[in-house]
Amino acid sequence: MSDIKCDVLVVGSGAAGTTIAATIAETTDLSVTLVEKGPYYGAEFFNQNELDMMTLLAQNGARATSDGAIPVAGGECVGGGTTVNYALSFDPIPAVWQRWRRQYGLNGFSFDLNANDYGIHRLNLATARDEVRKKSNVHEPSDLHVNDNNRVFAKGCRALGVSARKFELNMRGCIGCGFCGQGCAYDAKRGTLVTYLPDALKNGVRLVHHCSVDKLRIEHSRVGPRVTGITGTVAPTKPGSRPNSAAAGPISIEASLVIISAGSIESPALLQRSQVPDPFDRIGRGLVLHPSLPIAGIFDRRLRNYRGITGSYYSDHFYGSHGFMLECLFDHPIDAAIAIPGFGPEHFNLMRNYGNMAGFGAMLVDTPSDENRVAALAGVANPVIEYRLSEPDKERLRFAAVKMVEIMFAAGAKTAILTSHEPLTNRKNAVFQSSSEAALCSKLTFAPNETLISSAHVQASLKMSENPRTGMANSRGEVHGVHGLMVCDSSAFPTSCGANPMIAIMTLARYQGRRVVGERARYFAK
Amino acid sequence: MERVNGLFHLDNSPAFSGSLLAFSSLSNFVTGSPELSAAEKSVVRNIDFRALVARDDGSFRASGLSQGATFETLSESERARYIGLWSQSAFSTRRRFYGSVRAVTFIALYSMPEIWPAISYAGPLIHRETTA
Repeated sequence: MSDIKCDVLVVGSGAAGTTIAATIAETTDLSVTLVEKGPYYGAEFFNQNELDMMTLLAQNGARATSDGAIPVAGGECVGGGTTVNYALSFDPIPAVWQRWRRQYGLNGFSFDLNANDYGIHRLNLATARDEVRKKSNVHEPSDLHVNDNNRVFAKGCRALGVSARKFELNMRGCIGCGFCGQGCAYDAKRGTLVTYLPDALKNGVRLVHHCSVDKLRIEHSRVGPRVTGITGTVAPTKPGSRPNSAAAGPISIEASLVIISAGSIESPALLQRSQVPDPFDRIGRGLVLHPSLPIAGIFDRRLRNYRGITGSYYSDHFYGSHGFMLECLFDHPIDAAIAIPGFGPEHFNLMRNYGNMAGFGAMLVDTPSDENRVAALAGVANPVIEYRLSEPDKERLRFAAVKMVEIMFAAGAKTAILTSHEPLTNRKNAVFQSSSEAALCSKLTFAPNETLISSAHVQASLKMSENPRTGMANSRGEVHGVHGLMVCDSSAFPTSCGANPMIAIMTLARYQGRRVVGERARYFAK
Repeated sequence: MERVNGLFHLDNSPAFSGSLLAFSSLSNFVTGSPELSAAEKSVVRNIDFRALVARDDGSFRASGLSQGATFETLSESERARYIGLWSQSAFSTRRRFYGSVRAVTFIALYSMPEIWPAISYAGPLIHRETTA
């Protein structure tokens, strides 16, 4: 049994956990422990093999909603999502945070660079965001780095008067191998694995990986429940991982402040397993996951698609009117084969054109519903994700599908393929031969397991709200009615942050970390 | 396939092998209404199971496949027709099984470097031992 005593324990080493651990350690002598369920892989491990690198994902990439309909991708390794994402960087959207302040009574989170939230010098989201951007080297890629897939997407958009613009990306010295999603073998992607993690380690943060947290330790006293640490299990170190700082076996960690940054699936599940008081049935409720619908197109020429920067163009043309973005990305063969409908010779005849394919997708900012939730069920190993698309969201996805087919043909595709087994055309599956067939997408029913919707941005399962009836935590991320427990990750967002969430999550973590330091007397006796 | 099994442990999954058994005998497609898990029941409400069974029954009849057959005895084109019934079954659980088998097959197939030239995929830029 390993025993660790520290001031701050952070559970989860993704976008949020690594950033908040590094931020607290940067300016204080507080002892900080960072635990991660997955292994500690680095550039030397990432071998650009699509199958091998599925090990970086939660449940090896097989995590999905309870009906099996929506795969829910997430990184389960040091760096979390920032290790396996496509480096797409969106600043936190001020209008979204202002709405949260209005609807959930949130305090602080100023966007004014001179604001001193909580009376702490220069504590505001704008400063936190700028620090995160600088650390992560967020910038627009140059035109030289835009590959054919992104070019045809931008061309198709422009031909139809749909605005398209470049993503900002967190990379430096990218060589364009096209394997962002499999872990960057060159340390060119500036995920937390190579930014805040080295900072944290340099400042004395202790990293324990391969560490599953079974339960929070909760003591009940006169002033109410207090979280005093965790109990968990350290698994034997997997081959290829960097060495661990704790021996395999049971582990017990004691801390004055426990910060949960395990992501929007594991964070609520941990609170539920630990029986954290939940008088208003808020844990896990109102999960959003940015349902995404991909499209592929076949061209009559070879395209540079899987090489080069995977995503460099997107469109927010329909964001204001329909709440979705079009994002240009491309899959390696396994994911591509799963996305292309059908099986057997018919499927292979489409896959044969892989070298001539282009792809992009629609990412929907979904409507929150309390019916959609994460639950830790007794006797079930993994958290159960219950999610159904709402009717208005289906309607918006139908519209997105029509537009995507039109854009694909405007870009020059000869065939467009939706990831659907619904027989929309007189051909089998959703395969289109001309732009005039685009309107058939309005017939999509989105029956589960018939049309493939994917997800990688789970959020809002432990919402911040000053009202305990509508959220689990206050604006500081402190869980209502419980001492010593803070939530700091995408689950703390009250609803969707409105875009790919990495930078928004890191900004929140940077902000909360600086706030904890500024208010240290609130948490620590020394 | 060994590497795929290393990731997903299909050998030890009773749900997966149970579904394979149900898949093999064509009679099960018509008569057996798939069991929903507790988790699914809490999400799926107000479902008319009899109507769903009738729909699958109808599409099975229209397919011209013989009810007493097993998958192993079908010709290649009959197999394709039968798999197609699963992919467009009225039951989400059946479509899910189809999707899972399909995903496992494609993971195994398209992870093989031997097949990459056929789809013009050059694979990794760096060459390191595979890990699984």
